[in-house]
Amino acid sequence: MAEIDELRTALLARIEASESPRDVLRASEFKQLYAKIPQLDPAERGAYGKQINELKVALETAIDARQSAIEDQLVLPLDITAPWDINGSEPALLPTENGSVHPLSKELERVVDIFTRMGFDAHESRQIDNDWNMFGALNFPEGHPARDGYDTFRTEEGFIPPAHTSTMQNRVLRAGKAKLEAGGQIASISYGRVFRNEDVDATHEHTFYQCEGVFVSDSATLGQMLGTLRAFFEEYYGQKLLIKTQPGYFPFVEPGLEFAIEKPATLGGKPGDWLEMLGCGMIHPNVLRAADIDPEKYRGFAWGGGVERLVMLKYGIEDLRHFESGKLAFLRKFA
Amino acid sequence: MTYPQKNKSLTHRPDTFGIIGFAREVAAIQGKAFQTPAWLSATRPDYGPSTNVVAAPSVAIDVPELSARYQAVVLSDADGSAVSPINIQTYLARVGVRPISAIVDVTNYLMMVTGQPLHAFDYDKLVALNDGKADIHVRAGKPGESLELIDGRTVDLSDNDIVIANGNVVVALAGAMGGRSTEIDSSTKNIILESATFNLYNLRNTQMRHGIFSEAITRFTKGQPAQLTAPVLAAAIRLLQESAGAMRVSDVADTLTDLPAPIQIEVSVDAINSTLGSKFAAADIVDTLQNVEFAVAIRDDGTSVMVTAPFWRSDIHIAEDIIEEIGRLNGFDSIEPTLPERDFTAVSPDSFDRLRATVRQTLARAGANEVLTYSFVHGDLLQKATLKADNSYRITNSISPDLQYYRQTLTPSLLNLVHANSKAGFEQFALFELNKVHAKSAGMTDDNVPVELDRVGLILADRQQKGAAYYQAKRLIEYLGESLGLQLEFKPLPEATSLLIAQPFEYRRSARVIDVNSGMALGVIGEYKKSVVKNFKLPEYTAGFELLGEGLALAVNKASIAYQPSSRYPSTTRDVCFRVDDSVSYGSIIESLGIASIEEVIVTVQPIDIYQAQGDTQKNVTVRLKLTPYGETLDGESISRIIGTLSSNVVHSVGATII
Repeated sequence: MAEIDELRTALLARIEASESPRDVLRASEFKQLYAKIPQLDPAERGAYGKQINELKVALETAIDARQSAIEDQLVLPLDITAPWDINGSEPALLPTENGSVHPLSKELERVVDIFTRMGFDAHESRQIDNDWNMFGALNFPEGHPARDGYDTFRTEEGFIPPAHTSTMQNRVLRAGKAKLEAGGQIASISYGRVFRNEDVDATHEHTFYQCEGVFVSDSATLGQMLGTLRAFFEEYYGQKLLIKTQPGYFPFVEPGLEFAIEKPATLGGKPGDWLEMLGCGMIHPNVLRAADIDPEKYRGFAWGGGVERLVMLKYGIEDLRHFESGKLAFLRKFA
Repeated sequence: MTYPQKNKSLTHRPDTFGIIGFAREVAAIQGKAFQTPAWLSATRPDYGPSTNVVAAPSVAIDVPELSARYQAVVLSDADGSAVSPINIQTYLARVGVRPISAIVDVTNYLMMVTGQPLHAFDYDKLVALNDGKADIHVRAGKPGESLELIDGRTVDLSDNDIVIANGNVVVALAGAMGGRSTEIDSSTKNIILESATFNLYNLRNTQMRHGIFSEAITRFTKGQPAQLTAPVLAAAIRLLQESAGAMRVSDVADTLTDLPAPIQIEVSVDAINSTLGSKFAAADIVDTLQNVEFAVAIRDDGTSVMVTAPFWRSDIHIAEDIIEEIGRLNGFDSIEPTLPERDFTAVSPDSFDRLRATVRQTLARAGANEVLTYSFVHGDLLQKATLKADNSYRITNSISPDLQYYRQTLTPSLLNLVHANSKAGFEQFALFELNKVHAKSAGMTDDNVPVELDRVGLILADRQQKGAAYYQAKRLIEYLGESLGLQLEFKPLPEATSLLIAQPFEYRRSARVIDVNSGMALGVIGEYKKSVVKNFKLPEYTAGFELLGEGLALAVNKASIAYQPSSRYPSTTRDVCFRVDDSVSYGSIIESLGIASIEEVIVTVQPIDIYQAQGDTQKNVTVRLKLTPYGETLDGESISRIIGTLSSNVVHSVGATII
């Protein structure tokens, strides 16, 4: 209807010129349109009502734009090179006692430090990788049921947010091959964030941290693996520890084991209490071959475990979700 | 003994999914020899008497990859209404299978005991579907085909499913569940009994697509060996006769596509001991393996063993598998822990990790709290921070829209935490995160995976404070710079930029951060766009920065230690007040002093005051100049001369007046 179009032009112009554009919606000319509805033929009311609504939407869009433009004009530029604002004074740093490092970061630093002192180099793992590194290079055949246990996320292109830090193994082995073949060893830790497509609750998260290691030489043994892991935990918990193992199946190791330690005194452990800590095993020859390392000449062991668990045990933290919650109430409990 | 439905350590051991196989494993772990019952190890069994009045069903495995072996036999005079003997019924009930009828129970019983699933078809119903003929085909499903299953569901078949068909009519979803049309019922008189094995990859597909998690498919997806079908079939024929009166009336049809020959693996005693770090003698090795019915022979010189695994051990392929057997059955705890040897070369911690540790410690000291937030974000979060979702890697199988996109920068995740923490009663805080980000625009690495970028993000917010939060963020970042040995400068941010980290920032109250020494661009600092403040419900006083980890690392690498020994001679300070136009930046005043040009005197500048009266178009910038001579004590005249030089430099450069 022509009168609505005319009114539309007039109101839009009014909005453009206004400093308080929202007021235009209360304009009497606009309100009168609604009053007209009962005066119309019932058959025409529907179409008329629809036109009014369209006008309202157009006005609201214009009002939002005008509002943003007004606010934008109110933005005062400041001198980015100055030490403080005009008529201001030196800003203070926040009180140092409020500051904190995340407990996971702190624990990871501690774990990495112990392994570094034991002779391992350490690197952060990737947060996006491909099928080859996630599965293929680790002796998971295509379509194999073992892949299911990892609940992996996938991107459109087929990339995978890693479900284990073992995605770094092939790269680590390749990087260390020359040194190994020159008479040395490969001793390396990978640590970082991993992802599993799981619902979140007090004991499950889709995002968590793992730390894993590999050791390859011309004479590595399963006994050395047990000794190395025991040595790590003894240093970490500051006491001698008994260890216990059970068979475990992982496609990238053979034999594969679950590794447990006696519950340390610092955690209130009593004789007969055990803590299952990580999975480990002798690196499967197919994994060595995938990195061009000859399994007839070299052998190795690998292990991997979660980091949140160490932190939860240490502090008695009851809920896994705290770690990624970003809540100051939790974070400020730590130093 | 309770039956292990989920046993992670034996998930790759199809033989342990039958009670006999599991018992064998337990016996071996206890160091006891196990003897498999003769009927089960008979891979070429006697199927018992037959009247042979009916032709064996014709069996064709149309696609060899789908099935290694399919056996079928016809039994007659069965009593479909017979129930199993009470011991079979209770056994089934104890392992969680409902007893139904003698015929069905025999198939389930043998499956639970041996791990080999069986299926019984009602013969009369089956042949009625194909003009009285039993012409079995094992083939792939055809798109458009469907089947009503025994559980009442109708499934649409695909070419990944394996189906059993009589002629053209599909009668069963192989390995998963039988069809209703040929179901055994109380009136069943004649049976076709199937004992077969199917491709585990296809069945895994079937399991996922149709959501069928029957006992049968669970076993088939572990991969049951072809040799097992025969002894179990023979046992079924015997049991069906005993409990349902069924008589064998045909030959056993036996179609094979793949019957792997047993592999003999040679393993040296030395390889076993040097891999495990153990001290087993050849005799110990033989005993351990014979306990689980491996065939073992010692080589004449005693240095190695030749091992043949029994047919039910499809997990044994290589020497390492034998080594695992020895270790596992004797117990890995019996192996003495030792340590590898190393030289005393120090391992260098990763320099980037060290940088990040310093950043963390410094920001924590400055009163900020480190957070860790998720790598995936909701599309809305990107939008609220004015970023474009199409530049993010998108997750296709997420459980929640909150986990849709890989984040391109850290700031939106940090902005998202401000309101909640503010509401929780924290009036003043700074949150920071060190983490990786990903953007399609960053491209790919040499090994064809997305480039990963490292970022340091920080937000500070204060519900009570008024004024320009920018300067507090600047103070923080300069403190960080100092601890890293960097001197920072702040340059304008253009209104439009493709730089991802810059997107949420208000360009007129933000800056690019540059390392003076290397010229490296380190990141962006400032206050946020009005729309961003509104979208995230931020307090008025909010600012932050996001830094490029790689840039920071390069700048720190190039930084040099700055230590100047104190001078023997006394310093002097003088305050100078420059009156300049509003538009003249503080930085330009400092730069124009030309302090480097004064010989033998170190000049440092400290800001004292920036004052502008209401309505004034000019401002008064007061700085304190500190002169530290290294050659000789400065007298009054020299001091005045130097101050004069510095001041007039400013006057001439930026049009200041001295007041």
